[in-house]
Amino acid sequence: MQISTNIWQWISVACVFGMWSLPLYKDNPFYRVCQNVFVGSCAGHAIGIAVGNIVNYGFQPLGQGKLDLLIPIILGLMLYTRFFPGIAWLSRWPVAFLVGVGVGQTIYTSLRSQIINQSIAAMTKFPGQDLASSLNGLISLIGLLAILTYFLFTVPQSRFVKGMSQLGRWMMMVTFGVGFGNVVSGRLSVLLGELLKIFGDWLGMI
Amino acid sequence: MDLMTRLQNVDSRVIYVILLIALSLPLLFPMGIPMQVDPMVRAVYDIIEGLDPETDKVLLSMDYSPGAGLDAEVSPVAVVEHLTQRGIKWVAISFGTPDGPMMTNRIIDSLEQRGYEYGKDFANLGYMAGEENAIRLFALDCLSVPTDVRGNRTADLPVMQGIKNVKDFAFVMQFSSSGPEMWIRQVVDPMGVPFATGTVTVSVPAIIPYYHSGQVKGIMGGVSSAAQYELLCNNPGRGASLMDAQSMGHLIIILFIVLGNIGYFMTKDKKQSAGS
Repeated sequence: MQISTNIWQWISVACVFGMWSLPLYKDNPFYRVCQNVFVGSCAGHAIGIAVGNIVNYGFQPLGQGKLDLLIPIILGLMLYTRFFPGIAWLSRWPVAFLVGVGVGQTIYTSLRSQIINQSIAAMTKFPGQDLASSLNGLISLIGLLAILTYFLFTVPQSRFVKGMSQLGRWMMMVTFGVGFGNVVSGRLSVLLGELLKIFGDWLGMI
Repeated sequence: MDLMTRLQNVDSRVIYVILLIALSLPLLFPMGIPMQVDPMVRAVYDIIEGLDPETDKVLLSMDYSPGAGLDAEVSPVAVVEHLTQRGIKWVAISFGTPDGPMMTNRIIDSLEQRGYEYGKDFANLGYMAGEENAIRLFALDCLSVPTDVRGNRTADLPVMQGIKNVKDFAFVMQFSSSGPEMWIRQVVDPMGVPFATGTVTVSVPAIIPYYHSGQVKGIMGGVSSAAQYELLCNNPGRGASLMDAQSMGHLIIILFIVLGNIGYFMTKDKKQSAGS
């Protein structure tokens, strides 16, 4: 065992203990200090990166003669007119531009990548190359149809539709269970990272 | 309060302490529980094994922040180790979070200490704001990023020579704490670039449909995938060292869920018989 002499390791581990003091004990000043340090440092880092981006992608190229950058810079500045009631309406123009570009960029690509290509994959997986992949494809296809049936609210609830709907419900329950299992596993990994910091980087036991 | 009722009302602090002990012991005294390699992880390994170190370069989109913890950080470390072992040059950029370049620097620092050269073997192009639109812009013109994180001109970096658009990379991999949908929409489907993703364990189920459709060639999800990847590379690292503890943690959670349910069903039967 060789305890670290690095002051930053000590501060880091102290912050970990500070954050753990909330669930293991109760709200306390030590926890609040650590929480505020985290929020403040994250905000400071984000502001620094944002300013760096404006300089790197905006002002520097503008200074080198790329005058077309004046348009996004002016649009960006117009966002701040909302703080001045008399000209607040000007902030709607860049917002409209951002929404338009965002929707235009994603509406077609979402349709293609997440609906058409996914539907093609669902339809072509059965039959597969061998028995196991065929079985997987069949379960996947039946699951897809069953879950879609669960969300059919405008057709008469015949026995078949009700049965498929019930199957879709079970399929979704299984999916939620898988999701929860992954959440638990992921959170344990985060905790393990902190334990590794304590036993490895700080105490030198690993 | 009888035992069955107590089982449903265990103080959360008791569970936390038991978990801490259960996770700490295997860290200090590893047991070597065997692992199996997932085909989704092997697919990433096979792609990188198939690259030519003389001609092929890899783009890494580093879109995770410290909040995602070790679950997000071990996969890129394992993949970068593999790339480095094989002598494949790589370029990192971040679109999802401003913390991405900082996380990349943590990996780069250890490589530079071992003698690898920044700019020649790898580069960090920093954070580009704009998310989906920025990904599209970068994909069409990789030199739209004027400088890297160290202030070097992107066009002058040796590792960027011959790179004009994202198609000039032999393989693209995103590491994030969410999903790869933006990359699939803007790069994978329109440009046909081989793409894989490394993410946190929580996000894996939502990404698996993209793996089955072939849009994502491989998935690495959290610590367990990183451990499997390290096993494939014969280079056990942080991921592998954590797997015993991870398995022990899962056992404890399963135990508490089972005990809680036993308590629930036993008291439910009692309540029903008392009611009738």
